[in-house]
Amino acid sequence: MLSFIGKKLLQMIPMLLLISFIVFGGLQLMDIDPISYMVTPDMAASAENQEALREQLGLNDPFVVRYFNWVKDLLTGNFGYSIINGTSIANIVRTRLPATFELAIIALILSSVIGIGIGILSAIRQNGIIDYVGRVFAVLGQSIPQFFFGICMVQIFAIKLGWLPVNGRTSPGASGLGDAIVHLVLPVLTMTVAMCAVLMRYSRNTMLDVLNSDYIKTARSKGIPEWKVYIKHGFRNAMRPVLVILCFRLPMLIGGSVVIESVFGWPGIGSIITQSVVSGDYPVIMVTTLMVAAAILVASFLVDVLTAALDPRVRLGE
Amino acid sequence: MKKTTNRLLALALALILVCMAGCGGGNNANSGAGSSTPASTPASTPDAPSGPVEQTLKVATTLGSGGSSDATGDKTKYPWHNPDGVTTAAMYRTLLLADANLTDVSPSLATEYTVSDDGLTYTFTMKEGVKWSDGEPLTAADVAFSIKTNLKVASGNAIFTNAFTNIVGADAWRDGSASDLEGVKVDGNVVTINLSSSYGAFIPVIAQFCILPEHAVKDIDPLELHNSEYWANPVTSGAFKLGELSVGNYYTLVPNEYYEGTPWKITQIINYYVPDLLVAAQAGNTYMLNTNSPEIISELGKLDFMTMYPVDILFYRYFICNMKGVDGNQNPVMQDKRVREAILYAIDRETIAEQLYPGLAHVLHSGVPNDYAEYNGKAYEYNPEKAKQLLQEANYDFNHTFRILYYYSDQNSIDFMDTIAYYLREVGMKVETVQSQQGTVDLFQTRNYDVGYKGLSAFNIAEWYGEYSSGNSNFRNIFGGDTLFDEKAEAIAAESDPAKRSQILKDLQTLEQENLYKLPLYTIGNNIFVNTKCVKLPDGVTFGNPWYLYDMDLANWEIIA
Repeated sequence: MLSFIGKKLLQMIPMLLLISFIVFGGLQLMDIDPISYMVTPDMAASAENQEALREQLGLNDPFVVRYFNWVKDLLTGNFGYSIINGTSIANIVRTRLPATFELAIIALILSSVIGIGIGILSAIRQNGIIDYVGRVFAVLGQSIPQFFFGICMVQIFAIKLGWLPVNGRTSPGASGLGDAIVHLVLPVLTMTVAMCAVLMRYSRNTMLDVLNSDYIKTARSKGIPEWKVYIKHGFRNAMRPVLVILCFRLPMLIGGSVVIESVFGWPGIGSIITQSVVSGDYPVIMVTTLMVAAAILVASFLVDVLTAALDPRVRLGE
Repeated sequence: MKKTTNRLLALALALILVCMAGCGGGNNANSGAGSSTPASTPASTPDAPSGPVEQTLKVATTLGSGGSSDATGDKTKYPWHNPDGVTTAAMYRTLLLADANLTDVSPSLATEYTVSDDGLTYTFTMKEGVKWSDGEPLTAADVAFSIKTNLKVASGNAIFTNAFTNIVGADAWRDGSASDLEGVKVDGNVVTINLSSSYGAFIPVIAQFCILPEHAVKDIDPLELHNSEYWANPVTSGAFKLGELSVGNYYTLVPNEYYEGTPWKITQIINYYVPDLLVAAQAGNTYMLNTNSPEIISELGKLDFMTMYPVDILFYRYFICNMKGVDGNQNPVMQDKRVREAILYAIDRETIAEQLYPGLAHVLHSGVPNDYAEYNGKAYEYNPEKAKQLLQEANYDFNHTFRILYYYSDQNSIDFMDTIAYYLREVGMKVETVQSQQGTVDLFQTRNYDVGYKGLSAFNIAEWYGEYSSGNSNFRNIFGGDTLFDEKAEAIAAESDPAKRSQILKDLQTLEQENLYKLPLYTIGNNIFVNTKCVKLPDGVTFGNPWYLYDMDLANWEIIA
C-alpha cells in the first residue's frame, strides 16, 4: 500500500512538469499579448514606456527561456505575480482559494447527501412518489443552465423579495456565521441543484442494478432484514461508481465554478482563472492550472484507493 | 396508484404556488420585506451594514473580465487612469478643482496659480498645513514627484502624458539621460512648471491630476505603478481614507482625520464589487452610476427611485481607415478617398442612431460636433446611389471582402456592426465583420482589416485631432506617419485663445474632410443616474463628464433614507 502511494506521488512530478510545459506552449500559440491587456489602448501613457515594461517583464525573451525562468522561480518558492493586475499569485491564492473552497465543499457535501439519499430512496421505492419527484427534479436540474437558474434566484430572492444579498461573500460591517450563511444560500443552492441531479440519477440507477443482482436475492432468501440488505449489501456495492464521480468533483474545490462566481460575484479563484486566460496572464494561468492538475491527479489516486477499499477483488499496484 | 397520482398532483400544485409567490410577490414584497431589500426601498437591502450606519453612500464597481483597467476587486482605483467617480474624488485631491465643464477651475491643494503671458510658465502656491491620511505633510515636493513619476509610467491617461511632455526636459527625464526634470522647480510652497511649448489645456489637465505621496510611492517602479499592491491600501489626501478592503466584495472609505477642509455630511462610502451594475442598482447597492447603454437606461428607467441626469460629452464612435503603416506596408483597398467617402454615404447613420441609441447618439460629419459654431455644414447624408457611383469611379473591386474590425462586445455594438454590414452590402460590397479580442494589437499592429470601429472619450476636441499627428504612436501605424495634420494638431493643443482656437478648428475640420482618414459616425451622450430617494443632492449641482473629476459639491450630499 505504502509503495503504491509513494509510486503514485512520484509519478505526479513528471506529469505536472509535462502539463506545465504543454500549457505554457499552448499559451504561446494563443498569440495574446499581455501588454495589450495590462496597458489598455486608451491608457497607454507612451509607447516607449510600454516597450520598457515589456522588456522588464521578460516578454521579449524566447519561449524556452521564459519557461525555464518560470520553473526556476517556482522551485525556489516564488510563484511570481499577475502581470495583468500586479497582485502576487501567493496573495491571489491566499485570498481567493478559501472562498472557492468554502462554496465548493458545502455544495459538494449537500449535493452528495441529497443526491445519493434521494437516488437510493428512489431505487428502493421504485415508481413511488419520491422516485417520480426525484426523476423530475433530476431532469430539471440537468437541463436548466446554471447561469439561468442563478439569475432567476437572484431576481426572486434578492431583488424582488429582498431576503438575500445579490452578490459577494460578506457585507461591510457584518461578521459571523449569519452573514456568511445568507451570502452562501443562493450560490450554494444553484451549484447544488445541478450537482445533485447527476448524482441522483446515477445512484438510483446503480442501486437498481445492484438490487436486481443475484447476491441481493440470496441475501433476502437467507432472511437478512431488508434494511441490512439495502445498507450492507446494496449501498456499499452501488456506491463504487458514484464515488468515482464524487472524487472527480474534488478538483472543483481548487478550480471553482466560473459560472457561479460570475453570476453571484463570488470572490473565488474560478473567475481569476477565466480572467487570466482571456488576458494571457501566464504566471497566474500556470500556477492555477498546476493546482487544478494536481487536484485531478490526487482525485484519480483517491479513486484507485477507494475502489480497492470497497472491492476486495481489486489489489492496489496490480 | 390513484393515491400516488393525487399526491403528485398536490405536490405539483404546491410547487406552482410557491413559484407564483416568488415571482409575483415582487411588487408587494416591498411592504413585507421590512429591513431587507425591497426594490423600491433600496436603503434597507440585506447587504446594508449591520447596525445603524448613518450617512453611508453606496457605489459600485463592476468586476472586469481581464485587463488592469477593469476592477479585479483586490485594490482601489488607480487615479491616473480616468480620475472618475465619487471614490476618487473622496480619496484624492488635485491642485485645482474643475467645474462640470472641465474648463473653469477653483483652488484645491493650490490656493492660487499664475500663468505667464507667453503661456509657458505656470506657478502654483500650495495650501499650508495639508496632510496625507498617514499624517505626513503634503508639500510642493509631492507635486513635483507626481509629475516626474507620471512621465515614467507605462499606463496612464494620455491627457497627462500629452500635457507633461511639453515640460522643459521631459524627454531627457523620461529616457533617463537627465537626472531630474528641468522644467519643474520647487521653492518652499511654490511649484513652478516651465513648458517648452504652450499647451492650451494645461490648467484643465492639472485639475484632473491627482497628487500622490512621495514618501509612500517613491520605491515603486513607475512602469508598474498602476498594478502595484500599494493601491490595496493607499495613502490619501482627500476627505476620506480606506477603511476596510474585502477582496472581491467591497471596500469602505472612512473620514480622513487629517483632512483640513470642510467635513462631508457623508460619513462612510461603501464601494461594492459587483458583476452587474444594473442588478446592484435594483438591489440598492449603488446610489449612483452612469451608462450610455440603451438597454440599461431602459431598465433603470423602470426604477422610480433612480433619477436620470443626461450629460453631453465628447464620446466619439468612428471608423479608422487602415491606410498605411510607417513600415510602408499599405492597404490598397483604402487608398482612394472616394472609397472612404462612399462608406459614409452608404450608411444611414441618422436611422441607425435613432434605432440603436435613441436620444443618445448624434451624427457627426467631422470631429466638430454639429452644434459647434465651428461646424462648416458639410454633411454626408445617406445616399446609396452616390456611394455606388463613388465606388465605381474609384474602380473598387466588388469581389473584395471588406473587413470591419471591432472590439466592443456589447449587444448594441454587435447589432450596429450587422446593420453597417447590411448597408454596405446594399451598395454591392462584400462585407465581413470581425470581433477582436485584443483591440490595440489588432488595430495598430496586426492590421488585418479595412476599417476599424473605435471609440474615444475625448477630454477635449484637441484629443480627437491629436490622433492624426504623425507622432501618435498608434495611429502612425495606420495613417503612415503622415505629417499633414501635425502643424494644426499641435496648434489646437497649444492655443488657449478662443478666437484663434476657433479658426484652427475650422482649418482642421476642412483638412479632415479633405482626407477622411477617420470616418466619424456619431457622438454618444451619457446619463448619470442617482438614487434620489436615498441621496439628497445639494442645490445647484451640475453633472459633467462622468469619466473625469469635477466639483459635484460632494461635501453637501446627504443620505436621507
